[in-house]
Amino acid sequence: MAAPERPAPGAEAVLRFGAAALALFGLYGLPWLSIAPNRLVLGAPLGAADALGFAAHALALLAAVAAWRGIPDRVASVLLTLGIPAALGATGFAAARLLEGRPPAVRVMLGGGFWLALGAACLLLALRRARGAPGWRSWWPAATLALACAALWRWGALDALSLVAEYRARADRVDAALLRHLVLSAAALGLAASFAVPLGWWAFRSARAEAAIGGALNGVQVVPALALFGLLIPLLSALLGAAPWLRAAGLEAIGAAPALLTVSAYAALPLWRSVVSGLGAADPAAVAAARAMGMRDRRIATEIRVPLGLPVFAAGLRVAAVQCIGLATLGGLVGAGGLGAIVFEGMAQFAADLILVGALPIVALALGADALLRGLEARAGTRGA
Amino acid sequence: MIAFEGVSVDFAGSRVLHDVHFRVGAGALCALVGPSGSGKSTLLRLVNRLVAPSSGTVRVRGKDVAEEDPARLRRSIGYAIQSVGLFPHRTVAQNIGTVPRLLGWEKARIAARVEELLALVRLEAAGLAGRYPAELSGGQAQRVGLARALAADPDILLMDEPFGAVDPIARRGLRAELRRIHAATGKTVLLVTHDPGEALELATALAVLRDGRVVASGSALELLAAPVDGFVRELIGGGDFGLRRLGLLPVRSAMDAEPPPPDAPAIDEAATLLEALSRMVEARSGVLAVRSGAGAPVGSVTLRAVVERHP
Repeated sequence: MAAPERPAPGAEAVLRFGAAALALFGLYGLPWLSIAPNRLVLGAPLGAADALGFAAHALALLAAVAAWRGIPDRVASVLLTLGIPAALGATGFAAARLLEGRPPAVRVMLGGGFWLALGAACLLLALRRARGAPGWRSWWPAATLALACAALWRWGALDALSLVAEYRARADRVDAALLRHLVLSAAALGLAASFAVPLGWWAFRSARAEAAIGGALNGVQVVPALALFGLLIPLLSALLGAAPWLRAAGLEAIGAAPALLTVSAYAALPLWRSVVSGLGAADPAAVAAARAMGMRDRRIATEIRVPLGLPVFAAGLRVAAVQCIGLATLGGLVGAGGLGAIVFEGMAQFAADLILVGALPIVALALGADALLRGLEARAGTRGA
Repeated sequence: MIAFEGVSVDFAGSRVLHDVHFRVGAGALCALVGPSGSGKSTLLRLVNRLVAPSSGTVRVRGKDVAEEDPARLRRSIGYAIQSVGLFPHRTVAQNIGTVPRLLGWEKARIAARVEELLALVRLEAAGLAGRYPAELSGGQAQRVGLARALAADPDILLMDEPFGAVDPIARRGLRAELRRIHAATGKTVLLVTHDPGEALELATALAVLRDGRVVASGSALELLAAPVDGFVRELIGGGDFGLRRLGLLPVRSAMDAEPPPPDAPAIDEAATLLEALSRMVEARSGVLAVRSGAGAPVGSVTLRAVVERHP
């Protein structure tokens, strides 16, 4: 099992103290919460000390202790893993108190200070985790955090926050959008693989094909994604006009079809690149020996090149999967649905919390896919090499 | 067993082999020697169709290789190279069992054969069967490569600088191993080497290549018998042409039946004339007593006879 990459000691100390400084700035320098008369207007800012009282100073102390070098990684990890949900709970509690006796339209929104401190605390936790021993210790903070947040959610501790209110108001739609986003991303990844893998094999066999395909796939990356979405709609309309039977087969000019085509066009490059370099990753002496012992090309591919290229393939798959999840957001613009639709609805209404309701799950999905496939990559790397 | 009939090979416009005519008899251990770029590896690779001749015919077991299926042909010929090329994701046992598996042998038969081969290359005691190639030393990897080449019991074995990448001590051990295996199995071996000492020690026949041509061939003794052309002399004789020749001849070939003086140092009758000469220099004596393996006196050998009377 490959050890997690860890920053150099000097750089690590800078990052650690930088993270602690950001957390303190978030607590004391920026608004923690804001109160607005309704969901569409900007609210009046409220600092952490005013919103949380004594708890704000406790959180500041915790950030400083977690960054201090004298504290062992394990202790710091435990402090952060418990501190982050505690901060979340305290914030939810403070929001509920602020809403007491006010009209129902009043919203309490999370401020920049909260997000900055949360990000800084997660960075600190990641730094401490990277230094910890491998094995179960490397994943328990994430699991504990997820469990604690789920508990806070279940007990309604966060219900007073505007973000949660936005979600509760359209929970079914958001849940459906999340599922659709996943399906869209997976379908786009599958579509990309369906042509990137054969093209990769072709490019591996022929240098001329590699130059041509590489040029085409790189060309796609240069086109802004939005422009490609826009371009596909008239193209697909023209195609459907010329061949109406395609419509019967389920193809539409707007909706999932242009989204899938565009997202897969972008995800094809990392996939294709990893197929080409993964097939070439095997030791040339091993390939020469295989040929000399009487293996035919297909067997050399399946028995030598593919197993030895697995870590490279897994890396390409990870990059492409994360790219698909991110780009599928733009599908919201062409009627493909998914979390992008929620984000763009929020943008149209200038409702920042609604944007977050769409965006936060996208971030979580991307991080989750990245972590899952990173694990796969590490497993692929343990065999051979 | 292997015959090259007027074979020429062109690579990218330049001629690597010129009209080669050459035969390797069944059971021979034939060494191909020559400077780098002389075409020895290309000649070797023609045998299992890794290289195709531009003109001429290569026959293996009497059949033109151009008419055989390359994969089948290669499975029937062992091949060991300097870089070994073990499969890093497969265990030692799986590596050795590659060709038997390609030939569709039963699992039990492959396992038994792997055991046998590990014993043949003297790795059975090391418990290496389940290890991966990255865990092997250079010499062990070469032995595994040799075992893999021998796995399906091919009657022909091609070796391209098989001991090039190991230290001198492991190299000497591997050479002795190859000589033993050749003597025990009677396989036809074609060996590429740039080390003339290795060639003289191992080979029953040699071919000297220069600029894509076979400039001399024959047994070691034939090639070391004067007169040969200057290039061959330089290549296989180095600075010790005469001494290398002595190294190939047994003491008996210069022995007299008359008994040695009583104080003469002794030498075994199985020794070479070179060893006899070395013994004389060491003992500061111009005459040696020759003894049989059991120690019985057989005769005597003199410095004069070593220098003048050897065949």
